[in-house]
Parts: sequence; C-alpha cells; structure tokens
Amino acid sequence: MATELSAWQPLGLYLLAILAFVLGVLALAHLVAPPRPRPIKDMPYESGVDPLGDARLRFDIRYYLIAVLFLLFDVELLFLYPWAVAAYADNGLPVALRDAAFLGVLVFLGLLIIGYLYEWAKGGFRWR
Amino acid sequence: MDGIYRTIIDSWKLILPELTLLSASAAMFVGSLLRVPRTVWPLVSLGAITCGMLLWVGEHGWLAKDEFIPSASLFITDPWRWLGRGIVYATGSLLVLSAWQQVSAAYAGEYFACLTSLVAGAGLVVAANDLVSLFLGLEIVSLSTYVVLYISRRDLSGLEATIKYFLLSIFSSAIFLFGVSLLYLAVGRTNYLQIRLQLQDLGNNPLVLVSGLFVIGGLGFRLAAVPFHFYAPEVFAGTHPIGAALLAVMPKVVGFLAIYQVLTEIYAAAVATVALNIQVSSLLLLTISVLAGASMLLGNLGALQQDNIYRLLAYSSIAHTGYMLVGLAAGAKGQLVAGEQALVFYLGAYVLMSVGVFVGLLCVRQGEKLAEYIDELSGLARSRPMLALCLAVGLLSLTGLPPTLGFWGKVLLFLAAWNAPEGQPTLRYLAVFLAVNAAIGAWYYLRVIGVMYLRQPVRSYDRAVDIPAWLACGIGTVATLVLFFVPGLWWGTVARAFSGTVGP
Repeated sequence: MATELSAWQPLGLYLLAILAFVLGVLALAHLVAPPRPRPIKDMPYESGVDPLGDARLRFDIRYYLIAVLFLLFDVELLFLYPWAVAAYADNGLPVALRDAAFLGVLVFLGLLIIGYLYEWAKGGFRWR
Repeated sequence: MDGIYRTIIDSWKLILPELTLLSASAAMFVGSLLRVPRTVWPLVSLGAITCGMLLWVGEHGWLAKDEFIPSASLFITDPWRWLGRGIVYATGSLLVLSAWQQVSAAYAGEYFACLTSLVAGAGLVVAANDLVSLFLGLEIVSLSTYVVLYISRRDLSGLEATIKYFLLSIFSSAIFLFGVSLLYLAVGRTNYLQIRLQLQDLGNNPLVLVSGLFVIGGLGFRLAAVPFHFYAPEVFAGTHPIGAALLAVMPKVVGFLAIYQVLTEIYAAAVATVALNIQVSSLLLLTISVLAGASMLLGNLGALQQDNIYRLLAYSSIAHTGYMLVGLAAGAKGQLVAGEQALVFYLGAYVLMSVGVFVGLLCVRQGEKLAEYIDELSGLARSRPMLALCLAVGLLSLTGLPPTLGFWGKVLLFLAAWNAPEGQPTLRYLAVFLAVNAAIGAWYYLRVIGVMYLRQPVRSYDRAVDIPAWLACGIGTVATLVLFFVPGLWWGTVARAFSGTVGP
C-alpha cells in the first residue's frame, strides 16, 4: 500500500508548492519592503496624475469591445508564427503536406477577413 | 509520422455535416449585413440543418469500413456517435422552428447564424476523438449560446441572465481545461486512442483520477448537475423562453454525450489502485452516483417552492439531469437494460417533451407579454384547450406517467440501475431513490396541470397562431404520445447503435 500512496506525492507537492509560493511572496513583500508610508506613496499611482474621485469607476463598455477585438485579431495573428515555423523547418511538416497546410492557412485568413468585414460593416470599429 | 498527419487532414471527411453547417453560419453572418426579409434566416438555417442531415444519413453509406475502426484522427464515426449526432440535428431543427417568429428583424440573421453554428459545435463534440476537438466543439457551443441568449431578450433581466451564464460558463470551461491539462501531464497525448494505449501501461497515477473529477465538474456545469446548478433558475427565468428551451435541451445533449465519451473512451482504461484492482472509472461513476442523487433531490425540492413557471422548469431540468445521471452511473452493467442506452433513450424523450412544454408556454402570450407565473395559466383548458392539452402531455411526460414517452424513459432508467449485478448496492439504492423522486416530482407537475384544468380563466391570451412554433410543439407532443405506444421504434434504434450497428 505504501507504493500506492506514494503515487500521490507529486500532487501533494504541487499543492504545497502553490501554498508556499503564495504565502512566501506575501511574506517577502512584508519583510523586504521598507515600511515608510507617506500620503504620496500611498496613492494608487505614485508618479501619475492625481486621482480624482473613487478608483472604482464604471468603465465604459466600449473598452471591453476594443479589448475583445484586439484579442481576437492579435491572437489569430500569433497563430501564424507557429505555423510558419512548423511548416517550413527542416524537420517540420513532411514536404507533401506543406501545400495542404498553406491552403489551410489561406482558408483561416479568409475567415479572418470575413470577420473583419462583418465587424467593419456593423460599426464595431466606430467609437460611439 | 506521415500517417498521423494524413489521418488528421483526412478527418474533414468525417464531419461533412458540421462543415456544411459552419459554412452556412459564416454565410449568414455576412448576409445579415444585407436587408433581407426576416423569414429568410430561419429558412436558410433549417435548410442547412436538412443538408447536414442528408449528409449524415448518407455518411455510413459512403464511408469506408475501416473508418469505423478506432484511429488517431481528430474525429471519428461509430454507431453511437452517429445516433448522437442525429439527436443533435433533430434538436437543432426543433429549436429553429420554435424561434422562427420570436426574433426581431434587426438581429434575425445573427440569431439563426449562431443557432446553426451551435448545432455544428454540438455535432463536433459528439464526433470528437481527441480532447482538442472535444474542447473546440464545446467552445463553439458556448460562444453561440451566449449570443443566442443575448439577442433573444435584450432588457435588463435578459442581460443579467446572459452575463451570469457567460461568466459561469467561462469558469466551467477553465475547470474542464484544467482537468484536461492534468491528463496531458500524465500521458502526454490528446488523442483518445493514444491516451488509452498510454493509460494501459501507466499503472496507478493519481493525476488521472483528479483530472477525471475536474472534467466531470466542467461538464457537470453544462448539465446543471447539483453542485453546479445555481445558475439554472436565474437564467431560465431571466431569459426569453426560446433561450430557456435551448438551455434546457442542448447543453444536456452535448454534456451527457461528452461525459459518456470521455468516461468510456479515456478513463475506462485507467487503474486507480493496482493493489486493490480498482478502476478510475468506477470511482468516477461513484462520484456520478452522488451527483445523481443530489441533483434529483435538490432539483425536486427546489421545484416544490416555485411560483414562477420558468424557475419551476429550471429546477425540474436539474432533477432530470439527476435521473439521466443514474443511467450514466449504471453504465453497461445492467443485465436487462444497459445504463447508457437508457440514458440516450431518455435524452431523446427529454428533448421531445421539453420542446413541447417550453414552446407551448411561448404561445401563452398577450402581445409581447408572456405568462410567467403558474397562476397566469389558470383556466387555460377553457380558453385555449389545444394548448393546455399540449402542455399537459408534456408535463405528464416530465412526471413520468403513462401514456407518455417519459414513462418508458423512467422505467428503463430504473431497470438499468436496479438490475446492476451483485456487489453494486449503491446502484440499487439509487434506483429506489429515483422512484421516490419521481413521486415527489409528480406533486409540482400535477399542480400546474390542476391550475390549467380546474380553475376559471382569469386572463385572455392572443389567438394569433405562430405556425412554426406550433409545429415544433406539435411534433414534441405527438411524438411523446405516439412513442408511448410504440417505444420499440426508438428503443430499437438506440439498442442497435450501442451494439455496433449503424442505421435506423
């Protein structure tokens, strides 16, 4: 039975490591940071513009739309890098399949353009 | 190496119906920019689903026989998957019919495009043979569901319901993915066949068991099984009835077929403790038994206290998740009735009766104002006798009383759990618990029927007829009644699919 239980060791270590990391970082921040509170130092942004009013504002939903659009197109662009590396490296895709992969990427870009046109025509890029 | 790439690329042949649906959906998104009459969109959507169904019917004809053999491809077709995709397409067409006239012209294009891609995503989930393609399908389903919920009702309570569903669904996806990543850590593969091969040599690895728990948790959210059920009443009551109908049926079809898939095709191969010879899958099935008991009890107790008909139906859908989980827990162990067959039988019955009830409720309206509370249905049998009859048949079927299909569904689930072999006492208790809970459920379903038939009408409702919705409601009701007298028609199809024969 001892061997059976020892199989759980990595999982237990993983949990312990998470706990240790979280507590460790909190403790470290308290130990290392010199405790010299001043009004200016306690501001949310020490060297920024003086904040006006409460920090918990409602953000405009338009920022969310921009974030979503950015994520969509940015992540989809990032997808092209691994393809380019994997398809044309010396030990990458077999040569016979490179054309198929290229076609696949063209289809992918085509879909992206459809999405872009849809977004444009629907006024997703307009700030209103 | 070349062979694996080849199988991955050739996978597209196996999902022709879904590719058709996805192309139709993309075309509809682009087309929604044009000014087109509203009725075009549901027509296109229904047409795409019909094309998909034709390809699906033809599929087992032209696919070479060796494509049914487990392979390393992203997708796979085998008899039960074939049947499961059939259920998905049928559900999808019923949902298109019921939403036909309910969506405003400005958003009809997007609505039906999303509904089409939702059906495609559900089909991909059922056809998946790889954890990556399974997750892809699940995400297509979720993303489409958010938009469908948002478009169908855009006032404050609709928005609240959509946001609640959105956030919790993302959370559940993260849990599911965490489970998948733990499994990947253990075996380093994502393909079901390769995972099975690795697991057989792996021996005891706790990561596999823990990953199974996370995967069941992530999928349990879709089913609204008990610890993950809190969103259901809020979302059902807040969203439009067509959104509630969709949430009642589609995630259940997808979730149950996905859980069945991962349990039988991945976790069945893993061993939890070598010394005691306990399988991971039997521990997971024990977990599922607990979820089943809790879902049945809490769902039914919650429904007893509701005055809002949609909250009542939400709790009832939680209870039905519990009933179906009993079938999943019984698995293939039943001697007379195999659990998974009873589950799929019940799944089909549940789709039919839910569509009957939800779409029936959709027709109880005064202009834009829909009936929300049980009392508003009083005397419906006098003012709208046919509608009341449809609702009554659906509710009787949800109760599990003859002469409706729901009766056979519950009987089969009970038999599957009761006839499990000796040494499985949990399942016998579960079977008894199922019977007790069906009796509790009768109270609140019969109460609604009583309100409709025994009271005087207090309000009058529109007589205008929404023909497609009536058609969906009629199909659900008539099938629920007719299949009670010929249950062999549906049962035979299910039994054949699980014994390895394709075709109706």
